[in-house]
Amino acid sequence: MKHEPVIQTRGLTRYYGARAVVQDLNLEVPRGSVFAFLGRNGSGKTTTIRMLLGLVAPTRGGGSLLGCDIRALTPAIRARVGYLTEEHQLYGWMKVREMGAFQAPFYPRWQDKIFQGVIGHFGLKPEAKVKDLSRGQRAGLSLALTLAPDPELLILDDPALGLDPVARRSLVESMIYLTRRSDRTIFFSSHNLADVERVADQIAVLDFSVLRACCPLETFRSSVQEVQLRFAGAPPPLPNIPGLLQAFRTERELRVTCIHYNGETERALRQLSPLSLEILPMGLEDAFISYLGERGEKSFILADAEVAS
Amino acid sequence: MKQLWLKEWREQFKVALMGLAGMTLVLWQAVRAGIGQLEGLFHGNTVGADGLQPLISGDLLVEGAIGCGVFGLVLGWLQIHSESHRDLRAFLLHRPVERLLVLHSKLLCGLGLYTLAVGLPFTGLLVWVLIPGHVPAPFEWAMVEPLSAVFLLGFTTYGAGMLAGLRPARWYGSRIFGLGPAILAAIAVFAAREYGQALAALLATGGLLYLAIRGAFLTGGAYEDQSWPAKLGLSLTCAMAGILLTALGMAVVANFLRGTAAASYKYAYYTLTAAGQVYRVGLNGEVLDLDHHPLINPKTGQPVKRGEFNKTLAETRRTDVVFEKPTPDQDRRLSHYNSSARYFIPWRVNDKTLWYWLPDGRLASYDGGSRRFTGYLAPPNPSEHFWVPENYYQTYFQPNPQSQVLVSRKTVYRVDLEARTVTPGFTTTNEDGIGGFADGHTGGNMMVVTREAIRLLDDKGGVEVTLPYQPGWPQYSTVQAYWLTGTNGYVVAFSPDERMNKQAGGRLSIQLIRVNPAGQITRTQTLPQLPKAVVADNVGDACALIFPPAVRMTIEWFADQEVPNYWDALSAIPALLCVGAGWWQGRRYHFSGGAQAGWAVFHAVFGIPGLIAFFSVQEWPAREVCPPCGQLRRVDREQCDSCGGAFAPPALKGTEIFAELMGKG
Repeated sequence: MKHEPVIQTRGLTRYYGARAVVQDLNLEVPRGSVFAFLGRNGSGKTTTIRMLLGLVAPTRGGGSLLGCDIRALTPAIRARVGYLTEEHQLYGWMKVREMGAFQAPFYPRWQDKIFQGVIGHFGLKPEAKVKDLSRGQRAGLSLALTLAPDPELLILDDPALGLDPVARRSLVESMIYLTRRSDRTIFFSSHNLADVERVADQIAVLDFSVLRACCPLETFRSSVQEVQLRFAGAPPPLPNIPGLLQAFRTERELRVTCIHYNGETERALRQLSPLSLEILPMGLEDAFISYLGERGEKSFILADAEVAS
Repeated sequence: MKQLWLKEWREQFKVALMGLAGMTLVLWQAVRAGIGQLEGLFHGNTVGADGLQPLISGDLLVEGAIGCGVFGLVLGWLQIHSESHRDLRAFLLHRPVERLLVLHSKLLCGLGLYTLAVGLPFTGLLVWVLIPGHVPAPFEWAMVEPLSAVFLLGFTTYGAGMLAGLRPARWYGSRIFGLGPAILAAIAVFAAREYGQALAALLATGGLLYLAIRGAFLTGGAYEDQSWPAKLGLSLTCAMAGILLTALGMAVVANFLRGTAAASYKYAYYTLTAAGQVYRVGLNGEVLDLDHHPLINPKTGQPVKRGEFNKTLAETRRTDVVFEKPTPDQDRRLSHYNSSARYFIPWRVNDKTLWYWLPDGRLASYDGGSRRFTGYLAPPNPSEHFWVPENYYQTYFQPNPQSQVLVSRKTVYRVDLEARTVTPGFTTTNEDGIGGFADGHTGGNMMVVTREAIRLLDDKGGVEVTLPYQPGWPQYSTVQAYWLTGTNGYVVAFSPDERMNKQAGGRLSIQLIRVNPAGQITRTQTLPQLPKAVVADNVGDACALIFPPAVRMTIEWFADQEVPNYWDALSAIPALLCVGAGWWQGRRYHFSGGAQAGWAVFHAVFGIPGLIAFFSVQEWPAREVCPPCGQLRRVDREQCDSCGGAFAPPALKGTEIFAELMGKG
C-alpha cells in the first residue's frame, strides 16, 4: 500500500451552473512528493482542493484521499491531512494561544513543540488576538495549526498569497523543513513559481479547468523550450511549426517558444534560413507563462503610421 | 465536543446577552402595561379579560412570541453566518470529528444560550406572578402553558435562522423558506385549542427543520447528496413556505373578491314592537310587515328608518336552551388553552374589589389595592356551582350597578358583592333543571327556561308568567321573550334548532305565543319561513383553488372546522396540474422512477405550494447535447440517460505534458 498514490482522482468534474470549473481531472499524487498544483486564476485549483477534502461535492467523477473515497472522508483520514486555506481565515476573537488550545484536543498527534516553533518563527505573541494579526502573521498561525497535528499529507491552497517576501520565505522554509520526513506528502497550489521551483519536485497544470500537464518539474521545464533565431533582415513569416506556443518578433530576431521541441521542430525552424539558431535557458516562470499564455505571434515592431504619430 | 461547545458559547455570548436584555424589556413593559390597566380600572376604564394576569395576557404572549421568534432567528442565523466564509467553514469542518458532532455542538450551545436568554426572564416573570401581592388575578399552573409554547416557538425560528444560513440561495428569497414552518408553528401556537396540539405542531415543525438543517449542514447545502429523510424534511419545509406564499396570494385575491361582494353574510329575522306588532327585517335591512309591505313612517310617508324603528321595539330576553350542561371542566375546554376564559372570567368590580368567575363555579375576589386574594362566593349548597355568567363573552370587568344574578342548575341567585352574600331567588321545585336563563345587562326582567315551563320574572325575581315549554325542546332550542307595554302582555317566540330543522327539511317555523297580563295564552301564531341566509363564499372557493388538499385536511383536523365538500374537487384541480407540471419537468431532467413517483405524491398532496418547494429544493444541473444521440444530458451523470454513452474527455490541444510520477514511498 505504500506505493498507492495519496491523492487519486478519476474524471473529477465540477460545474457551477452551466460552467465547468474542473473538467475530467485524472490526477495521481505519489506519496512523499512535493506536488505543485498550478494554473491561472479561476482555473479550478481551489475547487479541486475543496473537492478532495470533501468540502464541495463533485458534479461527477470521484477520487480518493489516502485511500478513502473523497465523498466519505472519515475523521481518521482528516486527522492525517493538514489543510491550509487560501485566505487564512481564523476566529478573530481568539488569541494565538487559544487557537492552539482549541485545535489541540482534536488531534491525538498534536505536537505543541511544532506549534510553538512555527509561531515563534513568525514572531507571533501568544496573547495577541487573531483579528490584530497581519496577513502574514495569520498565515504563520494557520501554518502552525496545520503542522502541529503532524499530518501525513499537507494540502496548502496558495499559502503564500498576499504575503510579503519575508513571510513568504518563512513559509517556504517551513515547507522545506517538513519534507525531511520521507513519507510526508505536500500538495500545494501557488502562483509563485520561484517558490515552486525551490520546493516542488512534481507539478500539475490546469489550463481553463482542464489538466494539461502532470509530470516531474524537470520534465515540464525541459518540455518547454525557447529558441532564438537571428536574421539578416526582417524575420520571414512563420510557417506551421509543430508545438509552437508563442513567437516574439523584433526587427532582426525571432524568439520562438515551443513545446516538445525535437528534430522536426528544428527542421521547420531552419527552413526559415536564420543566421543563427540558439536554444535559450528558460526558468520555470517563463516556461509557465509561455505554456499558459496567449498562443501565437507577438511583435514590438511598430507600424509606420504609429511611428510617425 | 467541549472545545466546539465552548467556542460557540464564547462566539454567541454577547448575542445571548442582548437577547436577555431584550426579552427582559419586553416582559417588563408588558407587566407595566398590566399594572397600568389596573389603575385605569379604578377610574372607570374596563380592562380586557387577560389584562391583569400577565401569564395569559394576549399582548404579552404576542410580544413575547415576536421577541422569542426574532431572537431565535438571529441567533440561529449568526451561528452559521459567522462561519460562512468558505475558508473559515473549511477550518471548522476539516477536523477529525464527524460533521454531525459539529452540528450538534452548535445546536446544543445555541439552544442552551437561547434557553438562558429567554428562560431567565420568563422564569423571573413566573416567580413575580407567584409572589402574593403582585397580580390581582387567579393563578393556576396551566397558565404557564401558553408562555412555554411561546418560549418553544423560538426553537423553530432558531432552526429557520440556521437553515437560512445554510441553504444556497437558488432564488432570491428562497433562503428564508425555513421560516415557513416557524411561522406556521406560530399560527398553531396561537390558534390551537389545546396545549398538546400546540406542542405537537412545534414538535413536528421543529423535527422537520432539524432534518432539513442536518441534511444541509452535512452536504454544504447540496440537495442531491442528502439522505431521503433530509430531503423530505427540506421539501416539507419549503412546502410550508409555499403555503404561506399562496396564502399571501390568496389574501390579494380575497381582497379583490370581497371588494366585489356587497356583504359576505346576510340574513333576515323577525322582531316585535312594544305594542306587539311583528315585523320582518329583510336581507337588506328593510323593515316589512307580515304581508311584505314596507313599514311607512306616517310623518314622512317614506319607509321607516332602522334607527327610528329600533326605538319602538319591545324589551326582550333571549336564551339558547341547553339541558345537558357541560361540567365546569368540560365548559372550560371550549376555550383555548391560551385564552383567559379557560381559567377565569372577569365579572364585576365594585369599589376596589375585582370579582372573577372561576371554572369551578365560584366567584373569587381580589383586592385591587393590595392585589391579594380576599375570598370566594359560592352557592350555599356545596353540590351546586354558578354557571358561566350570562353574556360571558363580554369578558370585561363590568362596573356596578350591573345585573348581579347568577344561576346554578336549579336556582337563580342574587349576589350582593358588597355584603358578600348570595341569596336564592327562583328555585325549581322538582328535578326539572334550568336549561336557559336571560337577564338584562343592568338587571330588570328575567326569563328562566326549564323542560316543563318558561317563567318570566320581574326584576325582584318574582314570577310574572308561567307557560308551558310548548313547542318543546330540542326541536325549538331558542326561546325569546318580549315584554310589551300597557295591557299588551307578553310574547314568547320559539325558534327551531338549526340542526334539527335541517333534518326536518326546513319545515319547522318560528312559533309565537301571546300571553295576556293575567298569564293566559291568548293566541298562538306560526310565522312564515324566513328567506335563507345568503353566504357569499367566493373567497372560500378561491381558497380551495389555491390551497392544496393537505391544508384543507389540516383545517378540518386542527381548527376543527368543516369545509364544504366541493372544496375537494376544487383543490384537486391545481394539485393535478402540479402533478403534471412536476412530471414534465422530471422527465426533462431524467428523474428516476422513484423520484418521479415521490414528487407526484408530493404535488398531489401539496399542490401549488408543493410545486414551489419542488423548484426551490431540487438542483437543476446544466444539460449538454450528447454527441452520439443528440439528446440533452445532465452533466452530473456519468452516462447519458438516453444512449448510455460516457462523457468524452476534453479535446487535446497538443500541448499536454504527462509523464510518470515517482514518489518517495
